[in-house]
Amino acid sequence: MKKHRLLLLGLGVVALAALAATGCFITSAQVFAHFDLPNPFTIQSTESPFERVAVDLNTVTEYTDNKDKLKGLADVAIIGKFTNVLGPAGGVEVWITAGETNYDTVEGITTNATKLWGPGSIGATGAVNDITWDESAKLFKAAGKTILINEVKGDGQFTVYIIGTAGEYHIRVDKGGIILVLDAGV
Amino acid sequence: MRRIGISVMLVLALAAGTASAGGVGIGLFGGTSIPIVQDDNGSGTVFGVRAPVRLIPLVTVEPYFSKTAGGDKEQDFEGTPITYGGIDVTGYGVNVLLTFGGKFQLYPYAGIGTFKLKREGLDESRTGYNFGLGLGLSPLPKISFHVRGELAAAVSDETSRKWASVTAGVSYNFISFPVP
Repeated sequence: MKKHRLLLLGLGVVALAALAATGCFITSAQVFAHFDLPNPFTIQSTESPFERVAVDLNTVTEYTDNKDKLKGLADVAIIGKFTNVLGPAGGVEVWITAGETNYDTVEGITTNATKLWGPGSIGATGAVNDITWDESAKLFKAAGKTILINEVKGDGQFTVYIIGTAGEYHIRVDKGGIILVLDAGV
Repeated sequence: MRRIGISVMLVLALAAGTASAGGVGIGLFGGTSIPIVQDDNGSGTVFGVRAPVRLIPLVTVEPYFSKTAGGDKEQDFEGTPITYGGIDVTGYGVNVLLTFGGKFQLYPYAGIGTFKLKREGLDESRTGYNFGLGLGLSPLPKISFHVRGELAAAVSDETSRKWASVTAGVSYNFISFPVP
């Protein structure tokens, strides 16, 4: 019986050592963090056709707590309650640039930034779309997501622009946010 | 190093001194799966099939296939609940069991395989590692019941997702033969 116990102990140690050799078995976790967009904000094709948000993740506690042990971005979503105040059915898109930029036209944004997300669709005047995680997750674009991941793993500073896709639009966004699931050490 | 050598010799000595039945079986199992430090994934159910093959005393090799349905996870955002869809995991691989006992068995085990993780916006395959401890009871010659506790990790580069699981299952040994 003593021999069996020794064998059990030996096997357990070998198994744990093999798993620890992967370098991450025990030492990583998926941590929830979110950056709040201005609440509310409005985009209107005639007067303020886009919303520019300079994102600094260093203002997010969960990010700063894990920044030195950050290993990647497990998942991401953009959420919010989109209300079409006035206009035809259309969509909302989010574009991204690394670092802080300040484009002042929609054309400047779509020429120089990279599409990150969208379009999140919304019906005609009066329609409301409360974007869910699942709906949001499938709207990400690979190129924009790559920039986002690099920025999250880098200095945490980037700029997003939210624009409408219909020719004429007036959309209000309530409780908008960027939700991050960080792959972090523990 | 010396301890490892002693352990290996003990295994060989036990194997040489043991006359037991080998065999090939098939088993079904199911249970619960609990994510470990995953803020975006909830507890779910796991079920699957195993095919234990015992060719030499003490050691059982066991190919397996499993499916885990992750549970939804809710987080609060600005007072609004956000629901993350659970991560479904399809896994296949092989376990190696060190089996002690006769009608009542105790077996530590470890395995390696491929885990496919899937939910909206996530679709990737990872290398899977698992280890655990099982208890088996064989009230009839060809039938055995099993309870297992296991830790598993789906590894990608420097990160991993981890689960603990508790399962119960039944196996039918459809081929039996003596082994030295």
